[in-house]
Amino acid sequence: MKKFLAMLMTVAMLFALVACGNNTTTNNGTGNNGNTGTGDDTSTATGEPIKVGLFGPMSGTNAAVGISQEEGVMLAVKEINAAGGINGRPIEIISEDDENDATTAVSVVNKLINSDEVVALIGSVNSSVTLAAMEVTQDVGIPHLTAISSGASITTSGYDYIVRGQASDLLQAEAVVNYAIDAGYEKIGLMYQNDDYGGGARDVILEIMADKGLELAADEAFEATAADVTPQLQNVKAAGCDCLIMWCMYQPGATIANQAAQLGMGDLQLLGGGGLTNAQLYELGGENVVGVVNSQTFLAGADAVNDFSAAFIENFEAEYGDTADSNNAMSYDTMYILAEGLQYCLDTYGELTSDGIMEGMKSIKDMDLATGTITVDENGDAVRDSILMVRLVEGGGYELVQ
Amino acid sequence: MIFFLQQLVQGLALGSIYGLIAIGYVLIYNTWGVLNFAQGDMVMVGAFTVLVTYSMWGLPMYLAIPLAIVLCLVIGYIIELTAFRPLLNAENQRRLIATIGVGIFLRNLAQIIFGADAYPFPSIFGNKSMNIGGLVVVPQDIWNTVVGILLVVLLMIFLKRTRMGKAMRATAQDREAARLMGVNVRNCMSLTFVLASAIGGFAGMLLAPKYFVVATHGLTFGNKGFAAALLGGIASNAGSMVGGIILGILESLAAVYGSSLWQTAIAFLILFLVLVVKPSGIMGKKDVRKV
Amino acid sequence: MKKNQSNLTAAVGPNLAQRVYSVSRVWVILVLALVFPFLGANNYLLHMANVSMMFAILTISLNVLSGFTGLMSVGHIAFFGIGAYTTAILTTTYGMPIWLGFIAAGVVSALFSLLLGLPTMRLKGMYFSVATLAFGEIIYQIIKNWESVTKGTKGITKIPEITIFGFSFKSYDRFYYLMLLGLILVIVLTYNLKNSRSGRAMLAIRANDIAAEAMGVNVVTYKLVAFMVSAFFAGIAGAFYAHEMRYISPETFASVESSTLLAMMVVGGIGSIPGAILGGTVLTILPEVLRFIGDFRLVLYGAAVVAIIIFAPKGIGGLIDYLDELFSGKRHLHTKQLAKEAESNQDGSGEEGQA
Repeated sequence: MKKFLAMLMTVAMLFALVACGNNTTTNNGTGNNGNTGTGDDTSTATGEPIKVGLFGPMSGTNAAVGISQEEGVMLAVKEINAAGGINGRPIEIISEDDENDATTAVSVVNKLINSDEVVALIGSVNSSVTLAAMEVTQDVGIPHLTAISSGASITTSGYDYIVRGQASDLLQAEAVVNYAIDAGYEKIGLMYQNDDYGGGARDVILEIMADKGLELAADEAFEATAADVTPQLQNVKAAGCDCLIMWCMYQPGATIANQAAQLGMGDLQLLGGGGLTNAQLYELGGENVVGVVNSQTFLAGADAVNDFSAAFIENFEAEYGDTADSNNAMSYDTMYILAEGLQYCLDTYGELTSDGIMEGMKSIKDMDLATGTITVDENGDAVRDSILMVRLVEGGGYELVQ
Repeated sequence: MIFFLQQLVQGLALGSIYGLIAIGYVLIYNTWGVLNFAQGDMVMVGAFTVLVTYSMWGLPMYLAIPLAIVLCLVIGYIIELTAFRPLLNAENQRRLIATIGVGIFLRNLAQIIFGADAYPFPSIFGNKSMNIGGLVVVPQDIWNTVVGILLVVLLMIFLKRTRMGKAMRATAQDREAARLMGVNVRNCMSLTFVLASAIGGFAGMLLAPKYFVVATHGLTFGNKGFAAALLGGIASNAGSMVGGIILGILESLAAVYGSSLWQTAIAFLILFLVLVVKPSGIMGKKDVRKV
Repeated sequence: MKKNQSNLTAAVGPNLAQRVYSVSRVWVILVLALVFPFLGANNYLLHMANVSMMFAILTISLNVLSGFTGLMSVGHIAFFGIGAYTTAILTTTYGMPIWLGFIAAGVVSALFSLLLGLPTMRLKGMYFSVATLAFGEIIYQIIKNWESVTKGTKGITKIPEITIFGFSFKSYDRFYYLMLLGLILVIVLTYNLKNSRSGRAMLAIRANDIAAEAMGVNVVTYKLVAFMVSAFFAGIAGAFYAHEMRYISPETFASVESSTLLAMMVVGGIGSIPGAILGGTVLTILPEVLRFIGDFRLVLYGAAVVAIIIFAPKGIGGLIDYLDELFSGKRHLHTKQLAKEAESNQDGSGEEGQA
């Protein structure tokens, strides 16, 4: 057998690098986060910081969503710290890139828990990545919030330490199906992207339809990266659908709309979930996506649902010079849900414990947040008063239809 | 019946692009003896070069496309120089992995430069569909098919009739013999490589108007292209177009008459079966098996 | 020639330090590996170590196929996925004991390799590679779409932790030892295979399969055996993965992930077992260290693979061999022997780090 001092040394050096190399962006929301336009660098919270771990895809194809998440969370932290933190203790965010990969997510979650000793975690984007991380947070027993993942199984599988800011697929799909039925469509078709986002929603849609004694006229899958969906559309056309629910992200959404138009299916009403909302949809689809109706939890252009929401829209604009999207708002709200839990725990127990924080978050009732009035149920789902239905109008804007 | 014909039309439109991508694999395989897993990413590079010259630099289309092709030639030459030529006499598996490395490099470089989101690209030949006797046809699709097939035919004439083409074919058949016959083998190999890169890039330009420009297209279309190349026969230039069209139609039919859930699996299952039953492909001559 | 060499060795001879090194090298590494969890390693480092070992097993498994016989599998992640899903399904849906899940993971993987190997073993190298690629894609689609069995895109949750006679291996440090045991077993088995008659036959196939056939080696059988052993190991690695993560979903087994394995093998040096271990470890840990550079990581990754192939074809394995021979006194700088070795390495295409 071959034995190898060099191998040993390399491994030792690498582990040493991992152990020491703290390449995280530590950020307490009071500075260095891009343009601090409001100039409130003077944080009034000065106590021992409360560390919160944040993870999501910061590189690769889903990086945009990870960055949206970070923007929302950082804005909330900045506001909370400026207002004195949690009993004078500022919140400190330690952010990590999980590369949208389950194995990496487990690594970074372990790092955040063990090396950075955070008291709670927020992440990630893809439901499957979040579920992988949840195995760890459940084991350790540490509060874990997800701002973006909408997969139904996250809160229905009996995990004790999860709280979700995002509206579950269940709520969104129900809203979309109900909209289609109420609008009088008779032959409802479905096209879903074949991954945890689309597949998860399909199960929910089938269930809701079955409850109402209805059936899908067409039920077609496509790969999320697929360039050509005309065969699927042909089936939808042949089935005589008058409305098509497309449960996918914005890019395939634009592909479907364009190719449907080319096949002369312009009369088909297109519906969808929150994944469609993005400026890209109109950039890629143009005329063809005008009139698309989709479910949404937040809409910056519409009348703010409450004062809190109005303040958020304004502050976000001031901080980042950009209109907040629903992922920003969700992440912002999720941070406020956590802050509420931290506050409750410190007030009730005088120290931060995982169970205390969870108890605090699950006792949230009728809390006004940017995405509506929220109550956290026993599963950890943030239940909100209503899901919005929005329609894309000429020029790429949105109007509220319900 | 019209429904079935419509599937054929759709399959033909997509398949001719697959065929154009496939021919890049074929050219490089025959000359260099390696399956170039980065060929799909050259398709992506082609789409981005025309995006740069047309959408970003604002050149008119008749200048934008030739310039983009020139850029593809240059990029192809750089790849050949850095990742292919140094490994000419290396083991096959090392060369294969090197091409995978090039693919990863190109894909992620594009993602850094242009981001992960897709870019729209205007139609060159029109995206408004026409109704011909019940068949829905998009001008861009017709032109893609015509240009694709025409290009393959031109390439075959070039290889068969011109001096340069003959030299390239001689090099592909037997490098040593070609050298003895006075062919500049090194130049021929380079030329084949950049030609394949440019054809791949051109395929990218054809598909940009319909399928957008996005960094991950290399993977999506690359896999289809090389499946088409093997389906038609990796040694056959004409076969790649035949393979591409067959694959395009099969995919279309699989989703419509089979199950859209299993569309991708069916396509790869057919590739697998062809490999097992007739490794040389539909149009290929019997390939000498090495044990 | 032989006489010359022995004279040379006798004349220079390994000194005491070199002898101590030769005798102790394995044991030093083994002891260090055993005490690692006590050296202040937290769960993060232990998880990284576990993932590294898992990839080490996977890379060794790929090496058994590609390094020994020269066949290139570009869809190898499929066997990893088959292993992970076999044990996950058996232990969750059917409530079977975990040891059975582990064995089944290896066996089912090996059976699939037989199924794939029988019709493809006679194909030329390139066609075989493409067949594995198609196979990888088909398996990924099956994992993703066969919802009644694999739970589809939602993935399988609540995979039980490993317990042996009521003793739980859930915690990362305990799992570490289990994983270490698994890795050591795989290493020992692989070395035994390599040094056996079959192993030499396989290496002969890699060097020149036509010649090997002519010498009476049953090429197809040996290739099949190597393929099945390789798939068995990959399946076992998958079982380890499933029980450590306790949640698996299809994306982990997407066919593009196979190129990560190929890169690990290349960085380690094709055919070298210590190289495979290091290749797996380095490419698991490097992204952690380089995370702060974001997207550039993958660009560098692609460029590094090409550069290593061109400039360091023997990868880390070559470096280890060099250092090992240097430390144990088998190699002397500035001797004719060095030149001779380099020469003999050049004409055989075998780049494997000879044991």
